[in-house]
Amino acid sequence: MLERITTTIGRLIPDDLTPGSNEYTRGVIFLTVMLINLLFCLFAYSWIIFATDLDPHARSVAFRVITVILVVYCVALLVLKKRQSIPLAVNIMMAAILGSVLYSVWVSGGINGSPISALVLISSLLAFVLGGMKTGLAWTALAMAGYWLQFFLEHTLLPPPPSLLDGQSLRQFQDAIPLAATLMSVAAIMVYEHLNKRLRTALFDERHLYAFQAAHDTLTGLPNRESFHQSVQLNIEAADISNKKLALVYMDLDGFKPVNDVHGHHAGDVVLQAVSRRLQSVLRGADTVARLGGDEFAFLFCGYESREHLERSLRKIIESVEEDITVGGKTVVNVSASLGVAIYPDDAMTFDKLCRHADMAMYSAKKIHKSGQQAPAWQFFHEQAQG
Amino acid sequence: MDSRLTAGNNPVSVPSTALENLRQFAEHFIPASLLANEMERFRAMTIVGYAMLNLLMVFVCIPVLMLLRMDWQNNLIGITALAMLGFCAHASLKTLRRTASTIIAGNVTIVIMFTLVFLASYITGGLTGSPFNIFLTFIPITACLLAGFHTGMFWSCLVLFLQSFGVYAERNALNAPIQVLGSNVEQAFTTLAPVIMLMISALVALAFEWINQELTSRLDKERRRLSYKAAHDPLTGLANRQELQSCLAIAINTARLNKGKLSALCYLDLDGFKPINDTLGHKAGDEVLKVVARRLLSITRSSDFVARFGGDEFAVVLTGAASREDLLPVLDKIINTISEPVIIDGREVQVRTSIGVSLCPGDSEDEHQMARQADLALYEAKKTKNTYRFYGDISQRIEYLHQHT
Repeated sequence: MLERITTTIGRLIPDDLTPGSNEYTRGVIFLTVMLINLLFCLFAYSWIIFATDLDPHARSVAFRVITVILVVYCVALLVLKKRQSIPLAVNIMMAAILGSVLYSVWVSGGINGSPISALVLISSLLAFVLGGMKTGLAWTALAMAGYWLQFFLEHTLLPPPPSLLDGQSLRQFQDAIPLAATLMSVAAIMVYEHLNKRLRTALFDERHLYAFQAAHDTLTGLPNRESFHQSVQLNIEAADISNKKLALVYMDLDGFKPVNDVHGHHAGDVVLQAVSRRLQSVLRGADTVARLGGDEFAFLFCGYESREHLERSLRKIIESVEEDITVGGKTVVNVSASLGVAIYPDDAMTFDKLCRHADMAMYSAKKIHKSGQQAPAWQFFHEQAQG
Repeated sequence: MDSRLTAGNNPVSVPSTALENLRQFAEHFIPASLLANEMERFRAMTIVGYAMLNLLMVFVCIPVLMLLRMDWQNNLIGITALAMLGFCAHASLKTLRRTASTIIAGNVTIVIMFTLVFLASYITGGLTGSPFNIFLTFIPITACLLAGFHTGMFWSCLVLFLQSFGVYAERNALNAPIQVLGSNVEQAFTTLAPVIMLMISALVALAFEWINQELTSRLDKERRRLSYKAAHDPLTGLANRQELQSCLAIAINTARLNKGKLSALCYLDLDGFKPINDTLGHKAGDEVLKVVARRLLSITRSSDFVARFGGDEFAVVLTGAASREDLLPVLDKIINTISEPVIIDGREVQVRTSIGVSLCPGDSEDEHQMARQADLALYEAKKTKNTYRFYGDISQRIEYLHQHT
C-alpha cells in the first residue's frame, strides 16, 4: 500500500528533478500534503453527509467550501501533470488554503470573534516549506494583507454574518485550534530538520572524500607521497620514543615501461592496480605502502629488528609482484621489481635523506639486476656505500 | 593566472554588504569555538538574532504601551513583560558567551520565553480564553531552531500537553481563570495575536531557509572542489591523464566536424630531469616541473590543452591547425621555451624536452591509438633528444621493427 502511494507520488513529480535534491524532496512533501488534504476533504464530506445533528445552513456552507477546495486541488494536480511545474501547483494550492482559512474566519464570527484566525500562520509556514524562500515571503505578505483587508472590510462595509458556531462548538474550536497550529508548525520544522540533516550528511561525506582523495593516489587508491611523508614523520617520532628502528624501502618496477609501450597506457594502469592490491595484502598492519608516482612505490616497515626478518618481507613483496598479471582478459604480462633499503636512524635522520638513500640503493640493485648477476633484487644502502 | 589553472576554484558568491555587516555584528557575540563548527555557528547566529529581535520588541512596545492608556495595574504587567523580554535577550547572550554551548543558551532563552508566555496567558483568561494562547505554538519551533531537534521535540511535547490536558483540566477541574485585561484591550490583542504569530513563524521558516541555502551552496562548492581535484595534478595544477582522455575525445570530434583542420596530440618527456631530481632533491625537481607547466601554458593558446601525466611526462593537445606545417612553429617554440634555463635556489639548471606527435585525422581517429602513436613517436624523439617526431614519419619503421622482432 505504502509502496503504491510512493510510486504514484514519484510518477507525478516532474522528470527533470533529480531524486535526492532539495526540489525533489519539496515535491514529495507537496504531494504528500496534497494527499493528506484530499483525504481530509473526503472525510469531511462523509461527516457532513452522516452527521445528522448539523444545522442545515452550516451544512450547506461547509459543503460549498469543501467542494471548492477539492476542485482547486484537482486543478493543481492537473497543472502539475500537464505543465510539469511544482511552483505553479504549490501557488494554486496555497491560494485554496489561504482563501478557505479567510472564508472560514468570516463565517465563524469574523476576525475578532472567530477561533480560527490563528490558522493564518499555517499558510505562511506551508508556503515556506513547499516553495522555498521567495514563495514563503510572498505568501506571508499575502496572508498579512488578506488578514488586514478582511479586518478593514468587517469594520466598514461588510459586517460578518452571525457565526455558524454555537457556544459548545465554539469552545471546542477554541481548544483545538492552538493544538492544531502547534502540530502543524512542528511538522513544518521537522521537514526543515530533515532537509538540513541530509545536507549536513552530504557535506560531511564530501569533505571526507576530499580529504581521502587529497591523501591518496587516484589510480591505485594507495597513499600518495605527501601522506607517506606524514606517516613516516609520525613513525620517526614514535621510533625515537620507543628506541626502535625503521626501514624505508623504495621499489621500482622492472619491465613496466615495455608493458606501457606495447599494450598501451590502459594496460599499464591495470598492472599498477594489480600490483598495488597485492602489495597491500602482503603487508602487515602497521607497515605502509605508498605510490610515489609512475611505477615507483615506497614502503615503511615499523620496528626493523634484523636484516633476515626484513628480507623475508622483501622476498614476499617480490614474489607477489612477479606473479602473472592478466590484462584485458587474455594478455598475460610479467613485471619484476628492484628494491632499495635505508634504515632509520643508521643511514639517515630525515625523510628527504632516507628517501634519497633508498633511491640510490634501489638504483644499484637495478644495475646489478640488469647486468645479469645472480643476486637478490634488493640492496641495503649501508652495504652499497661500503662496496 | 591562466584560466585553465583556475577553472575549478570558482569564486564564492560575495554576499551583499549589508548582510555581511549584520553577520560580522552577530559574530561579535559568538565564542570562537562555536564559529568553527558549521551547524553550531548557524545556531549561535540565530540565538544572537533572536536576542536582538527581543530587544527590538522592547523598544517598539514601550510607545505602544503608552498609546494603549491602560490603568496602572495593566501598565505594571506590561512593563514587567517587557523587562522579561529584555532580560531574556541579556541572559541568552551571556550564557552563549559563558558556556559556549548553543543547547544551554537556547534552552535558557526558551525557558524564559515559555515562562513569559505562560504567565501572560494565565492572567489574561487562562489556557482556554487568553489571546496569548496561540503564542505557545512558537515555543517548540523556536526551540528547534535555537537548540536543535531534540530540545525542540521536548518543548513540543510540553506545549502539546498543555494545549490538550491543560485545557481539559482548566475547563473541568480548575477555578475560573483570571482576566486582567479590559475588553477593548483584549480585543486588540485578539486581532493582533495571529498577525504576530504569522510574523514569528515566517521568521523561523526564513532562518531555516537561510541555513538550508547556505548548506546547499557549501555542498555545491565542495563538490566542485572535489571534481577539480579529481581532474587535476596537485603539483602543477595542470589536468591529469583522465581529464586528458576526455579532452582528446573532444579534440578528435572537433577535427571530424571541421574538415581540413587537424588536432594533434603531443607527448612531452623532459630530458635531463632525473639528474636534477637526484642531485638537488625532490623539491627542486617539483619546482622545475612547475616552471615547465607555467611555460607550456604561456606559449599555448587558451583553446589548447595541457596535461601532466605524473613524473616528467606532459601532454599538449593542439587544435585547429590547418596543416602539419602549421604545427612546426608551435613545436619549435615549445622546445625552445622549455630549454631556457631555470633558476632554483640561485642555481641555474636546464631541462630540454622531446616531443612525439600523433595527428588526427592522418594517423588515427581513436584516442587510445593516438596515445600509443604519440608514445612511439616520443620514443623515437628520445633517441635524438631535444627534438620532435611525427608518428607519420616513423610509422613505417616501427611496423618494420614489429614484424622483424
